[in-house]
Amino acid sequence: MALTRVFDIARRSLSTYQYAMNIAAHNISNAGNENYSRQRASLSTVTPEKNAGFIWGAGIKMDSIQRIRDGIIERQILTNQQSYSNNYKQSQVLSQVEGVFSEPSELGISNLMNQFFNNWNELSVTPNSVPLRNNVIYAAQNLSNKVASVNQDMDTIKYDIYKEFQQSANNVNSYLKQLNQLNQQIYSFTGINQQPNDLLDTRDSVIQQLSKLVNTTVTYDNSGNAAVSIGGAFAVDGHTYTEFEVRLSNDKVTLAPVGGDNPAKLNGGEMAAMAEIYNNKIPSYKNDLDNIFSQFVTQVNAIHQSGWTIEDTPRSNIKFFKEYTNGKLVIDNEILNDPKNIAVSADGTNGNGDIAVKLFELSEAKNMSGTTFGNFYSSLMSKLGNDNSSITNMTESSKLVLSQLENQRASVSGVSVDEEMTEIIKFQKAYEASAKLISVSNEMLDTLINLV
Amino acid sequence: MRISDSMTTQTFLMNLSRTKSEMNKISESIYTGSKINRPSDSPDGTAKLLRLNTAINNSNTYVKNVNEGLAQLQETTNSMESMFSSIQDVRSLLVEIQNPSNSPYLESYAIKIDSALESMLNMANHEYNGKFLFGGTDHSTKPYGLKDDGTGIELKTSSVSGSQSIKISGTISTKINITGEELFGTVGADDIFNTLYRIREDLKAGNMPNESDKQKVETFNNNLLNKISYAGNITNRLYDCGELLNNSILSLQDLMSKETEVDMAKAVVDLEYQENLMQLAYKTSSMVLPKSLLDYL
Repeated sequence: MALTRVFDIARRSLSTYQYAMNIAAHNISNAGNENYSRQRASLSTVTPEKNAGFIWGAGIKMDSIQRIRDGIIERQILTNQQSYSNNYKQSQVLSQVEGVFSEPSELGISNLMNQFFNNWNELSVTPNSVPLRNNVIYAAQNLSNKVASVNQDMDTIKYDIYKEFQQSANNVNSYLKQLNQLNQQIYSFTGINQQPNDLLDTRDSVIQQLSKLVNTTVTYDNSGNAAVSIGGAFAVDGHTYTEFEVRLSNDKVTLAPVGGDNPAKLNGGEMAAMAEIYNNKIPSYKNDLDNIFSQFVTQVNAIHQSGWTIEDTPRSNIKFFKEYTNGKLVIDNEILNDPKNIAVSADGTNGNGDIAVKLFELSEAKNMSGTTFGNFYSSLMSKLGNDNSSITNMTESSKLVLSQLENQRASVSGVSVDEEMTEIIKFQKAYEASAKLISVSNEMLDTLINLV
Repeated sequence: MRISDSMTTQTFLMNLSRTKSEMNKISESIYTGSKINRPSDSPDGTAKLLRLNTAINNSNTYVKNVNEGLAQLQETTNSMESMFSSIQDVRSLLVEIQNPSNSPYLESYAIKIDSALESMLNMANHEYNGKFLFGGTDHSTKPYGLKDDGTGIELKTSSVSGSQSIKISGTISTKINITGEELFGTVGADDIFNTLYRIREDLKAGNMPNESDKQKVETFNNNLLNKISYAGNITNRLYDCGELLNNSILSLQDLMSKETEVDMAKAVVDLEYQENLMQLAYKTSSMVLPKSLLDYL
């Protein structure tokens, strides 16, 4: 049995521990990288050899470098990431929408509409008073300004959402392109039986970024390629990827693969949130508002047209509001030009205010599917409030789940500097011992040579 | 459980941001003095708040109406009271004329009756806040005046029977004027103005006023008294309504403040508590976060 064997074993262990130190160093330097999964050298003994009736150990070798991660946690993180981003984005935009209405405050539609009605009531007491008539016009102007600004602001929010949706679609495309490239790079390594750990980390982080935007389904094939589909539409695999485009039809936005017929079914991620608000939520609020004000204009005009003005020759059939179109409540020019054209007299005498009373009583009439204008608007506000508060609660809870999962991931895959330092000390000692071994066997060899 | 370095920072940051957002929420409620600052703070509360606000605004308008009505009634009563004193003068003059020793002075009595007629007409045409109090609902011209040919008094407008009513609650409207029709009847022949006119003309011509005209003055006097007490009744009713409205505004405001009011003491204590938590978290993190085996090697 050769004395050089000790040299061999010692040399192998020297290089093995040097590798192990490298890995520990890599881990420590990535302690602050949140996408990094810690790596471990998997060490084993070299295949022993049989000699002189004994089996001799041949030292240590490094088999592979493993990435420490838990697939179940990773998948749960992806799923929860999608619902968290969806909820978070929705609650963010809904808070903006809430701000637009500025309720409950004196500047809200509710109070302004109420003032409008109350000014009619005041006018009914002194129907020929021009200041009171002007008050009615001011109140109507305030209301009309607020209604226009609410509608405009909601349109602006929709426009911003649309722009952001397009930007996000660009991001989705660039992620898909990256994923395709990463798949190919990873394949080139796995083809020669190597684990490209850092590339795998990068791919995982790109997939997570993608899941913030859209709902994804990820599967892995035998050669380690990640195949991703977005809302049921194919997006990327080992060979190719599809670009996605934003489509806008009937004022509804969708994300569809270029050239594909069917849009992706978005139900997670920020883009799903944007589509939901753009396509459903804001249109439903606007629709309620439109219902209120077109009915409001019809009812006010119907009553106003039955009244007489207080001009020298009283006229009837005068409209108070010109129209309600495109979210704008327009007061009739005749009213704006001369407050005497407000027609509140039921019989043509200038002291009769019966029509003003009727107009005031509109505020208590159940004209909006069995309820008053005010109550209909209040329930719109509580719908908006409920939408936002339930989404905000869901955001809170999905954030809790997500951070717990991320904590678990950090527990499994995160770098612990303490642990790495202990490893380094361990490897360093082993390295020193192996070096010592070489000098010992060197001395043994010297002894032997000196014998000759 | 294996604890890696990023876990400690993650946990610290998450809890710190939770504490801070809680502090933000509490301090917002302290600054604004209201628990409900946007619909999502309390969707039901917001709807209730909007309804209460509407009810309060409506009641405030009703109170305004009541006050306006009271002022107008006061003015009406004043006018009727001056009419009453004029009529008392007329009545005593009519009694004086009976005395035969006064018959040479019928001419001067005619002048006295004329001034009574003048002041009656003034009162009947009394204007308050752009409205002729006894003119019904037509306020375009003075309701009563001499005929163009000067042969009597006539109605200058088409009608003085319009009633002015005000809304003083969701369901109650009340009439606040005494119409010319009610007070003076049909103007043309038997009314008080033409009666006084005739008495004056009779006196001018040296004739004693006839009995039926005297009777008409008495009738008007009675009617006037009735109307004065009627106005008093409405005034009382409006006062009561105003009281009721003010009470209901108070209780509505009470409900509203119950809905929005922040328990300041509790909010401040909560804020202190969260602040303590935050400081504790900072302190603990300053002890835990940077420590690792490295410090001891």
